Amino acid sequence: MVTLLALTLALNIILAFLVLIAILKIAKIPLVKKPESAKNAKLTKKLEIRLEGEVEKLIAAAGRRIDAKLAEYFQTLVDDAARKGTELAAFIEKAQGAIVKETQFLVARDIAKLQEDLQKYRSDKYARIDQQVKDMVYEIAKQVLGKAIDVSTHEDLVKAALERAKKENLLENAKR
Amino acid sequence: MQNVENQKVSFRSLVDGIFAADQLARIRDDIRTISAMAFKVGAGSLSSQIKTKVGSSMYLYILSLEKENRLPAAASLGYFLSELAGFLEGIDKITLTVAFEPSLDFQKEIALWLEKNLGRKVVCDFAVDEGIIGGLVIEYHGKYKDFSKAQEIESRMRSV
Repeated sequence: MVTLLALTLALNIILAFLVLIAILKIAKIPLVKKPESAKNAKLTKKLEIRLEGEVEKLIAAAGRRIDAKLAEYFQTLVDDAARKGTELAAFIEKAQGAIVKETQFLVARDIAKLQEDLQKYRSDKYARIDQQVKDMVYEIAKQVLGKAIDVSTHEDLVKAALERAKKENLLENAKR
Repeated sequence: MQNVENQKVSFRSLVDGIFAADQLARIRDDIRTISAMAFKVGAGSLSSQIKTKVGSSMYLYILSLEKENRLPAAASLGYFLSELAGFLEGIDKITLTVAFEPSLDFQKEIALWLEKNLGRKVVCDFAVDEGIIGGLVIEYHGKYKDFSKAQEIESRMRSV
């Protein structure tokens, strides 16, 4: 980039110089003081022609160099753009892959959680049903047994319970 | 010392026929009634004065003491009654919850069984709760034990 600026500056200087020569010609101001003699005039003319040739050569060379540099820079830009494009494509592809993987992971995790929740819900429901069945059986057993036991059986049950209390030392431990 | 022992034997004779907590409570009430009357001057014997005011157990007890000339004089009757009240306080009470209305004979049988196994006088407080289905729940000296059929069924249901 610095080189490009330097070339542009040089070209501008040359152009300014050419413009100066053109102005001097139009104003008929001799670039070099005309020799008073005819020989001097001829020499001057020759010098002018040679100078113009040299300047044209210089301009042509500068133009070629500028073109070459510009072409080089354009090529660099094109190459950079191509490389960036490739990198961007690779990045997009990679990001896409990561997104797909993450999505797959999240979906799998959600499914696992859903299955876990379902299992827990099912277990809770079964436990509740179990408890309800137990409560029903208990209530029915109470009602049926309560009505079925006669006084004599009640008395026997009480005596049996007292014997159990005795065996378990409930009465013994309470002795003073 | 002999007197004290004799007094205890006398007290025991009063509670021998008692097996229920409410009977014991009635005797305590009777003691309060007699204590209140002991300070009033009345005609006739103490037994005749209390006949209609106390339960039959207490009346017969006082009557037997009078017949045997063992009833303390009016001056020491208050002390005698407070001693009797103290003796009654020392009798253990066992609360028995059953699922049916027990007959008096059955209550007595159970009280005697408990006395025999505990080796001392006890009275039973029977409570009825049909919810226990059958068997017995015992409360004694702050201990609670459930020997009921309801508890048995519940335990089995829990183990299913």
